[in-house]
Amino acid sequence: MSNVLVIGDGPLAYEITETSKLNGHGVTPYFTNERGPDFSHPYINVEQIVSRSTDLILEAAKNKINYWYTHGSEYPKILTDIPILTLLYTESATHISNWLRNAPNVIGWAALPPFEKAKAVEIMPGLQTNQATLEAAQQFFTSLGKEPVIIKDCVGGVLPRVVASLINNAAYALMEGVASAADIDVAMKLGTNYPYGPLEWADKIGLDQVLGILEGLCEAYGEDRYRPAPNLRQLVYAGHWGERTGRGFYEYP
Amino acid sequence: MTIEHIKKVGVLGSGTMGGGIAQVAAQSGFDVLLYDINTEILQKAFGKISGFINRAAEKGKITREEADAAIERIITTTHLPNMAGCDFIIEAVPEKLELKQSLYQELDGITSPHVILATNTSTLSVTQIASVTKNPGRVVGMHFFNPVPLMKLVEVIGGASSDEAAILTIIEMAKRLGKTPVVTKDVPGFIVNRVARPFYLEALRLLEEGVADHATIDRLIREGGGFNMGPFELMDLIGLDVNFAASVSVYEAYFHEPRYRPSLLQQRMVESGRLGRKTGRGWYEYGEDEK
Repeated sequence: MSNVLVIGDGPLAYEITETSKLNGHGVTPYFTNERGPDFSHPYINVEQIVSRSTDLILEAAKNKINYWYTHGSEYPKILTDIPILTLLYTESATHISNWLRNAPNVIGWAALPPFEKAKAVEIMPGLQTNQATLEAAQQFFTSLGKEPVIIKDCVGGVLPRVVASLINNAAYALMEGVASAADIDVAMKLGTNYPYGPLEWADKIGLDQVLGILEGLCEAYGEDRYRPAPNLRQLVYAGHWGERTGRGFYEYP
Repeated sequence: MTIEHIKKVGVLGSGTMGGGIAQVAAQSGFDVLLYDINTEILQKAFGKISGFINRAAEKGKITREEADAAIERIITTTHLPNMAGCDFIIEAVPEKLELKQSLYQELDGITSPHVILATNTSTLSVTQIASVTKNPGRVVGMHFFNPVPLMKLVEVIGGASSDEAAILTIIEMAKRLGKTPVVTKDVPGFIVNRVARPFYLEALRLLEEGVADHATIDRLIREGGGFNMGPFELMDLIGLDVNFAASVSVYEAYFHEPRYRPSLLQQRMVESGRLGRKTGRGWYEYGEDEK
């Protein structure tokens, strides 16, 4: 049982907060963009929210630069000993640790909503991550009843990268008028046995998060295969981020 | 022709897909005329279909009477002009454009222009198949999934010239066959074979990059994401050659769209003859009983 600071801006962060509480952890949540776009606090001073009793920081944010990058010059000493588990939707662990001064304490992780149903979580040590941090990450996810699986440090991990690519491809098909959103989802569930249709899944993950993954992959690989569908981007601009905002590819009255 | 007038269904091609369609149509109460080029092929296909129907009766899924009646409703022929007596025709011959087009041209002279011609193509353009016929409006795509008796989905593809009424009839027909129809435009891969490509291609990229081995990727997709099968297990089931050919075909059809770029690693696997379950080895190895 430990004191966990959960920082995040999407459904995965909200879900992992609940799961951590259920499994006996003391949780301090720090959320932005809970109900959609909110640009009133673009930068958060982590030093103000982290406390002496914090054992572990779990970050699940797409705009992590808002949390980490700007503190480079006045790096909070308190952070140097705490394991930081950073969600690798937009950058690799090695990339993020480059912004921080405690690279050995930084490790990447990845999963997708619905987190409740996930049995395995991806763990990605950066090039400088130390053994103690790896063990802390493994212990933490094991305590949530999830099996930690170690893979190589990269943007998007395995599951988020594959699913974001499916969603992007479905969004292109929707934009091109190939079929309705409902028909695309029904076709993928019945024709391939996917657990969710790609567009309804996007609404669960958060369209802002999906766009973050795709932009992260574009940046990391510089390849056209990851360029986000224009209609996905438009929905994100409009604040239609999925289930949590009441509208995404579908409407949730 | 509207759905109420359809009593007798013609099925062209008695392979896996044609046979499955004939079986489902007969079990849904239609008289079926199954066509293929020679009697031997037809006898083999008829044996398979009646075997499947009999097994369904033995398992108690249908009654003995229903099974006998369904088998009795299927008649085979090698004489294409016999299709004149059919109210609805589903074509499931090999995926060769010239073969399909010549068949549709022959049907022009055989069937009444009101009879709808449904093509079960999965890779060709419905518009292009229809273009050589006198009445392109009656040609519509009706894409079933393998195995036809089990898979609920049917993609209904309106070609550039397909009549709205013909599309509506196909939707009704799919429902009568116990299927769930979805309507799609005539684009390469339609919905499923197009949208599903990154499931395989991104997994292959992850493997090529050394992010994880194939078994770990499969496990994360299954246990992390709730998929029934991982991409590599699924490629082994489908056949690596078939899956690779589908990727190449979609990639070519979209003028080399980078999202669909095939994998070199997969090509090497195909070249080595590791095609999946059917050869005993693909990404995984399989014993005799698993093929």
